[in-house]
Amino acid sequence: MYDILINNIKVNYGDVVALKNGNLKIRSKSFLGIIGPNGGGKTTLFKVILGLKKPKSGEVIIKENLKIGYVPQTTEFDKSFPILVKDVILMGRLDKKFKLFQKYSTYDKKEADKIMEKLDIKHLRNRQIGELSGGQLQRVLIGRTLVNNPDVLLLDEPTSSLDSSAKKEIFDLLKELNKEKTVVVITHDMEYVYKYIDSIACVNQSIHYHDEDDTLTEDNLKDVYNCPINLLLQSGAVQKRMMEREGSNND
Amino acid sequence: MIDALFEYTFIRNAVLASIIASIVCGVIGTIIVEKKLVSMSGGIAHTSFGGIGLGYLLGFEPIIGGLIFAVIAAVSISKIRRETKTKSDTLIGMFWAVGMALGILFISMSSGYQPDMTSYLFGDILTVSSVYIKIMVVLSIIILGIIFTAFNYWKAYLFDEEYLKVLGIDIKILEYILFIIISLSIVILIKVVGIILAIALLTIPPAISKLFTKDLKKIMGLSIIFGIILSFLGLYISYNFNIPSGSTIILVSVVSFLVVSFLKK
Repeated sequence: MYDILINNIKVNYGDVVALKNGNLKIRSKSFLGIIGPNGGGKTTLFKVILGLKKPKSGEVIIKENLKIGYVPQTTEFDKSFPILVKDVILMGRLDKKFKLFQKYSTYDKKEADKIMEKLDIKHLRNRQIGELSGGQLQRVLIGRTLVNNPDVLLLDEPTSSLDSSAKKEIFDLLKELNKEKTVVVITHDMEYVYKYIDSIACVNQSIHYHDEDDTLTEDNLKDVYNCPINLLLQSGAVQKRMMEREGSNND
Repeated sequence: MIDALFEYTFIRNAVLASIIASIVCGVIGTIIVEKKLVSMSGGIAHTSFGGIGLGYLLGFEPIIGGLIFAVIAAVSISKIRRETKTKSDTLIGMFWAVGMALGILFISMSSGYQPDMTSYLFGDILTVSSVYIKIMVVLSIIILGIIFTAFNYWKAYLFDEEYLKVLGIDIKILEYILFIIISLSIVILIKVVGIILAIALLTIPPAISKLFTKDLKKIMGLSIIFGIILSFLGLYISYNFNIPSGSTIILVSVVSFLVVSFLKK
């Protein structure tokens, strides 16, 4: 039922509290959007889930044998690095257990080909990653994770530097993947949040969490926006959308 | 020079030394450039001078002292940076200066004959002994063995450390291993081009290669080839004009880089 349960975690960096009272339930096959101001602890939350950062207190319960795939921000690494698209995808097949003379098998390569086909990046396979558009690079990173067939995908701002058509493409892709997988996405792109996600968490040191079964209702949306981020996220699109919803309700 | 190659051991050793150095530089130099560890490597190289001085003072092989100092510097910089959050740039600067200062101090304290340090600072490939060639071969095999038995992991480490962390691989260990390998490489280079010029031989061949390819392994391969060509050319010129070999190799390399990058434009 739930893939990941986070119970009352507190996370510190030195003396600085990054997260407190952190409670979150990630339902299987849900499409969870994580919003919140920069520095609010969104990435920290991911790090805790991935086991990269140990919480000071509280617990993180992950369903047994759950495979988690992580797609980092594209700003995290050097795009001039001499690596080709196919090699980035293959990296996803790297064995967890450090092995000497590790080589990618024919099976690994076939899986990588399949994924590249699925993500429509096969024609780019021999390009160096710096030669890709932002949307293409994002697909490559998603591909690196998908080649391992994870149950849960964690994506850290996958659309932050993309133009609006590329943003839509990525969210369409995520929606497609969501049929089989749990998708958790950190994003600032509120207009897509409404169209695509089914639950929402606002992270601003603490976690405000909403997960009603179906789509978001105005009430819980408003609730979410009562969390301190509302001042920071004065996205016109959000307000427009809210008004549209109200408008259509009045019809 | 071709006749001399067969006639004199010292020429043969010089040629062997430049081939080995080029192979190591091609691989490690590419890593240093891609991981942006150039100043780190400069720091390690200069710290090793302290060990060379200590070798003279206490009467053991200076290059062993250099090796020990280089490894200590590499591991310490990485450890101190992690524990005190001092910027590695600052630490590198300190080690750099302290290494040189200790080297000069130790040498001045050693009694009697004061050795000529220019061969360590600027290299003297024509004095490379057969024993040193053997040391170079062993160190090179260790270095290349470590890199190529786990190449896919190194590639992932260089490209995206975080990804390996998520896989659950301890990247701290990889970092220590890499720094130690860099130290070994630098020690290999000391006799060939010297402490001061080592960085050039590590960085110029990859810089030229990057103008031709965007694939990590190919950059390494091309760097080896360019390294061999450039050091032979430098050696040939220095032999014929009777000028210092290390400086000549470096200057030939830099000029080649400028010419190639101009032509590739």
